[in-house]
This record gives sequence, C-alpha cells and structure tokens, in this order.
Amino acid sequence: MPATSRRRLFHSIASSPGGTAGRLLAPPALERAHARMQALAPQARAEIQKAIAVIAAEAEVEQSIDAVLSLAHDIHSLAAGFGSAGPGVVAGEIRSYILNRPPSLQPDWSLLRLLAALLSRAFDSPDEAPVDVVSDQARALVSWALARAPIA
Amino acid sequence: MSPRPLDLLVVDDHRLTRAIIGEILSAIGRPRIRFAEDGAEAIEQILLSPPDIAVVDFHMPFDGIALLDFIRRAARSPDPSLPVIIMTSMTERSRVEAFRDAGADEIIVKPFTAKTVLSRIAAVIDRPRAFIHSRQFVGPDRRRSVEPYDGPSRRQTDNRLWVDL
Repeated sequence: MPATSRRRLFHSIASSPGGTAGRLLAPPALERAHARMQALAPQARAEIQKAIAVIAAEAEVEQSIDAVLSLAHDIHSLAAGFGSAGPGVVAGEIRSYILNRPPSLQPDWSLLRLLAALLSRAFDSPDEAPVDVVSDQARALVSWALARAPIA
Repeated sequence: MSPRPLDLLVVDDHRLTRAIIGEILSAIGRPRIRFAEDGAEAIEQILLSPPDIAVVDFHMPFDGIALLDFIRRAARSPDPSLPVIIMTSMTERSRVEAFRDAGADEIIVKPFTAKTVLSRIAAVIDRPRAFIHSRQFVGPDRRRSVEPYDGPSRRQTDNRLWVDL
C-alpha cells in the first residue's frame, strides 16, 4: 500500500538525527538549494526578457489577451525569485487587470501598451525605475482603468 | 538512514519552473524527482506508481484542482491520501479556500524561495495529517491543533488521578 510505505518513510526521515528540519532546512541545505536555484538565473532572465517582448508585440497587434495573461503570469511567477521584483509587480498588475475587467468589454490595449512599456523599463533599468515607483505607477493605471469600466 | 529515497512528482507546464523546483529539491539529498507537464501526464505517472509527495502548479491546461480532484476522488486513483502541495500566484482568499476545499495539503505562493519550497515539504513529512473521507470533504484534516478540554469531568476515569493521589 503506497500510504503505509509513505508513512514509514516520513516517520524514518522525521526521526532521523536532526529530523526533517535538519535535513531540509539546515543552513547548508538551504544555501545549496538557493545556489542551485540561482544557477538558473541567466535562463530565467532570458525568459522574462523574451516574455516582455512578446507582451509588447501582442499589445501592438491587439490580438490575444490570453497570451498576454499567460506571459504576465509567467513573469510574475519568475521575476521576484531572480532579482527582478519590479517586472514581477508590473506583470502582477497586468494579470490583475485582465482577470478583473468586465469580460464583456474589449481589453484596453492602450493601457496594456503602457504597462508593457513600464514592464520593459523596470526590467532594463531597475535603477531608473525602482520597484516602489513602477509598482505605484502600474497600480494607479490599473485602478484607473478598472474604476472607469462599467460594472459587468 | 531512509529505507528508500523520497519520491517526488513535480507538475508544471512551465519548463523553467519545473527545472527550478527540481534543482531546489535535489539539494536535499538524493530524492527521486519525476516531472510532468500537465495534469494528464501526472495522472499517467501516478497510476504507474504514486509518488510520496506531488508538487502541483495550479495554472496549467489541465489545472491543479482537476488533478487534485482525480487524486482525492476518482475511483481509479491508486492513492487518494497522496500529499499534494499546490503552487500558485493567486492569493485571493476565495482561491486559497478553493485549494483547501479541494484537499490540498499545503500551498506554495509564487514567486517562491528555496526555503519556502523546502519548508512546505518538511511540513508534509513532519506533520502528516489524518485523512478525512466524508461526503462533503476528501482530504487532509485541516485542524492543525488539538484544543485541550478544560470542561468539567464527566467520566469516572477522568478522576483517576485524584483517586491515585
């Protein structure tokens, strides 16, 4: 039975010297895990950069809001873990706009173009566009757009 | 010494996220780590051999809740009590309640750190919960603590300490 075998295994790990925390959460284990995660940072940054470019292109051609949502979701999930907090926050606001706008309304593509530009600036020049500034700007834009949308 | 390595299944449609979780998990020793791109592929793997813990993304074509529903409720699920950790960037209260109601053991909020992922795995191993199988709910017992009873004693055995003294 898988449940019985699992229970035994968990008990064995938990009762081993140092317990589960000793194995999984001890500083050396955490440092190792963090280092392994950060080894993927170049790939993550390349992926974020590519996603930002595609969002900007989609906002120009005004076609697939689903593609924008999916890419914003990916950026939001990845960015903060790899030192790109600003793009993560802006991507979160893009997602928030798409999910909360009345579905009967056409997406506001001009807003999405603005947010794509903000996303790009936050990624390319984090010193000129610090996270608190871009997050305030993105939130203000999205709040304004949602406030003027008629209630569904 | 563990009798066998921990068997972990990571389910995410995003290639890089799968790789990140895999790297984090491989830092804890020598677990067996399997990957699936979506819920359908995960079901194939679970039917073949259930893992010890499944780390499942919510946002996939065959989403995490549908997979959780299969694991907990499907007649052909080989292991309804399989611990499932849901990963999500959706943190609205209603969403979190939906994950709990569907029978998730733990939730990892994206973006995550290595520590977050490992602490959720540790929580599943250290505090295995009783499994509830009722009409309304199938999943781990969500009560995290047992409140000590401080009402009046009503059974003879409750007073044994007094008698012994």
